[in-house]
Amino acid sequence: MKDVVSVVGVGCAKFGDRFDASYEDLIVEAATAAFADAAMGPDQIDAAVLGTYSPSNSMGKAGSSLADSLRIYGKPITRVENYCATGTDAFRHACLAVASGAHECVLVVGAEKMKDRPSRGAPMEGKHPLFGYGATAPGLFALAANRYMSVYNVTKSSLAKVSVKNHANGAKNPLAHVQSEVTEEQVLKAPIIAWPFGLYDCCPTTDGAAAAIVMRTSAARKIKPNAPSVRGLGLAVTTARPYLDPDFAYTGFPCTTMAANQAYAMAGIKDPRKEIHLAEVHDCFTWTEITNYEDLGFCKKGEGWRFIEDGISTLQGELPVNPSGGLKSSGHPIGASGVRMVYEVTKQLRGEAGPRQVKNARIGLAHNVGGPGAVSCVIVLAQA
Amino acid sequence: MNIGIIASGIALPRFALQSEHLKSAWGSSSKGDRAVCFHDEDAVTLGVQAALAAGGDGLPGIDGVVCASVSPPFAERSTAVQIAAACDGGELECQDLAGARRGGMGGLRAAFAAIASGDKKQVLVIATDTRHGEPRSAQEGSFGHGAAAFVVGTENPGAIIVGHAGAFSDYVEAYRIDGEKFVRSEGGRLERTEGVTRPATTAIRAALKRAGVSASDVRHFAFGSSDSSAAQAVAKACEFNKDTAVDCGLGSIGDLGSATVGWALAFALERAKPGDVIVAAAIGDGADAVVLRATEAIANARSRVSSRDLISALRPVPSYSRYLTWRGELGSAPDSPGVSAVLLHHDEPMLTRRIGYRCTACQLVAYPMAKLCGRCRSEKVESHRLARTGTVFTFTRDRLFPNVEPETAMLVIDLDGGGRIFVQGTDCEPSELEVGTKVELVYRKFHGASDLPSYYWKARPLTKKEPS
Repeated sequence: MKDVVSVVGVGCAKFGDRFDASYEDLIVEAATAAFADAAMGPDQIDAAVLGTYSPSNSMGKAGSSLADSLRIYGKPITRVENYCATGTDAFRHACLAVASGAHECVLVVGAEKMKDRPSRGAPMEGKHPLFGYGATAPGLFALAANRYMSVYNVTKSSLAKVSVKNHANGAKNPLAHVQSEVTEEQVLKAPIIAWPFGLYDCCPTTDGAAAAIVMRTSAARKIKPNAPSVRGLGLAVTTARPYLDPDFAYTGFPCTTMAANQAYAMAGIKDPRKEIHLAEVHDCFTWTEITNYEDLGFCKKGEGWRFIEDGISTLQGELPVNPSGGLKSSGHPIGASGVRMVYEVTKQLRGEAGPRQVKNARIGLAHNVGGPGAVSCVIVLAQA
Repeated sequence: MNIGIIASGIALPRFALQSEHLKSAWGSSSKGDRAVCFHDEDAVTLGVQAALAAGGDGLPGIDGVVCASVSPPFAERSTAVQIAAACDGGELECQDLAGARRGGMGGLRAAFAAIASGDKKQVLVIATDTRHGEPRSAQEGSFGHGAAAFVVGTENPGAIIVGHAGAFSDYVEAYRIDGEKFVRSEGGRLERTEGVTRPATTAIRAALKRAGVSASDVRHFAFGSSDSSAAQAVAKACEFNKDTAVDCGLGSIGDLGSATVGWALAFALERAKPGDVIVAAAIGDGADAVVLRATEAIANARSRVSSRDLISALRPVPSYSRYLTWRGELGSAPDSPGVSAVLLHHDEPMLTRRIGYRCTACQLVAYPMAKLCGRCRSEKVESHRLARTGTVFTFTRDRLFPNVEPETAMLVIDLDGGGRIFVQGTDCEPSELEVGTKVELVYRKFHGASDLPSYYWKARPLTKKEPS
């Protein structure tokens, strides 16, 4: 996929405890910024995709949450929900719509108002006596982390270094939820949420929205000569119940590898470690980033902990990962996260990332994984 | 400066639990009817109704709110603040009076003091209660639900507060233990004298003395009890004239708790003529008494909704059993639908009997039973009961999982003979369960996912002594 679809504009709302704003307000904040960035208005949009896990409290589970927020009526608007890969999958759908020729210009918005719900952030909505009740995101990811740490003799200290790195990057990102650095000692001494994850191993519960506008590259270049183009898209769905699958190794997430391989094939990437210059990956918990290094092919299985220990993924490293501060600092408003990653990669490829700018970034990657381990989506973008 | 009542409002629910309902249910013979809440009403909603009747939308001119209730829906959260917010009163100073049902009169006295000191200009005083009697108890036949509200201020009051006083009593009269739903009371003659007559008489005499009013001048007596003989006894002890005690229709609505005296005072204000002296007294771990004198502006002080209209609007609850569902005594709350019996029926083999499958094509053993093999998609799967022993493949200790214990061990277990299962740990500290720990499954109460009890298998460390 080359020079077919480009990202002509991006926008991102301030992520955080947005007690001042409604779900709709966040969408307007993000979309208004994206329209301004693309030098266009809502009338130039042919279609829209809303990526959201839990739509507005005042509207139903439909595209209408986007229509009523932006007052865009009468156009095709689709709502996408795919666990924590919701945002990147929404972006993927918009790209496919443009690539197919069905639409010229498509708006993607990811939005989530996590703090409008009582306690514990992500809701478990099921009523099944065994599967629906009580299971928590940190608990489910911790199952994999503990197996990995047991198999590869990894300690909490390696996990903590991911937190230290992403906090340092987040401190340079004015849109991040958390903008403060932490020490490894602070991370290790924090209260436990679900072993081995302590408070600073977990991303915060956050409100946020992000938007991107995609167009046919030929048209996009006329509006914005430096609009990055979409090189690769991948999506893979595996079991959401790895805890019942006797074949599941629990040392990583094969769905990430499958999605990445689709995207790499489309982009013509043979050696991701060398050909990718920055990556925004799904660090919902510190260990998740470590397995992502491996599952995305940046290093071998079982060596991800070394990748962080060796400093390869720092802002100044060989392959900077999560220059935005990641989910750890930005927060993880589920549907918004993937689109925020597209925002970050676009800014980086345009050289507009300020103090967190990665040098000589020409190819960037965005990655979500959810479920845990059930769904992964990978996006590859290239400098114009 | 004359301080007094410049407006008032009363509120009742629309339903009556009638003596016939209780007679047919229990064969008991309670007297009269009770005004009772619909399923979506509580002390806050009734308080809002009364507050709006007294103060109007936006509570114009009011700079303070006091609310008395012994049945607030929240043990910790201000009833006054919730009511003020619902009335759109702005950022008013709000206080709550709880613990004893004389709080309504205490509120009037506090409002008077606040205005006299110059701290406030107009104070809204609310008393609201929805006390529920236990089914088949005497209280079920005597407790009603209602609210009363008064605006106290200096702008042309319809009834001036000319004196007020309180009295102490630590006799254990009515009480409700924290966490319990129902009020308890021993009753009896000593309760009548020590809990009611003595403190009420003491407070009234002191208030009259401060007001410089003699007992024979009192025209209306509003008393905070639905027991008319108690009101008569207090009136007699205070040497009021014979027809002074107000019969305000409590026989049709029941004992309104904190709101009883407010209702009786509102009733008296409806009937008072300029110059009439009114005594209002509330009881409950002591007493509070207020002496008022009606002015030429008495019409201003009358409730915008009349007591007669509220009583005539009452209609019988559709049935006693429906009433019990409103009170949560029957059936389950609709907002927690819980586990369906249908789901438990079709998942019973999995939940209760650990039924998984063996694939005859690829020999995989897995859980739960399925139509297609999870590894090779073959339809050649046969029912297979999983073993009760196995090894922890991975784990976590989750501190967010809802549990009475601070940590819950969550375990992925590879069972002996095949199959993987995801269960909670039990019978040990969660830290005793790690990768490689040998465990056995035991059948346990699972969790409170719904009102329907759930059971499932949990894992505990296998000891060498115990056969499995």
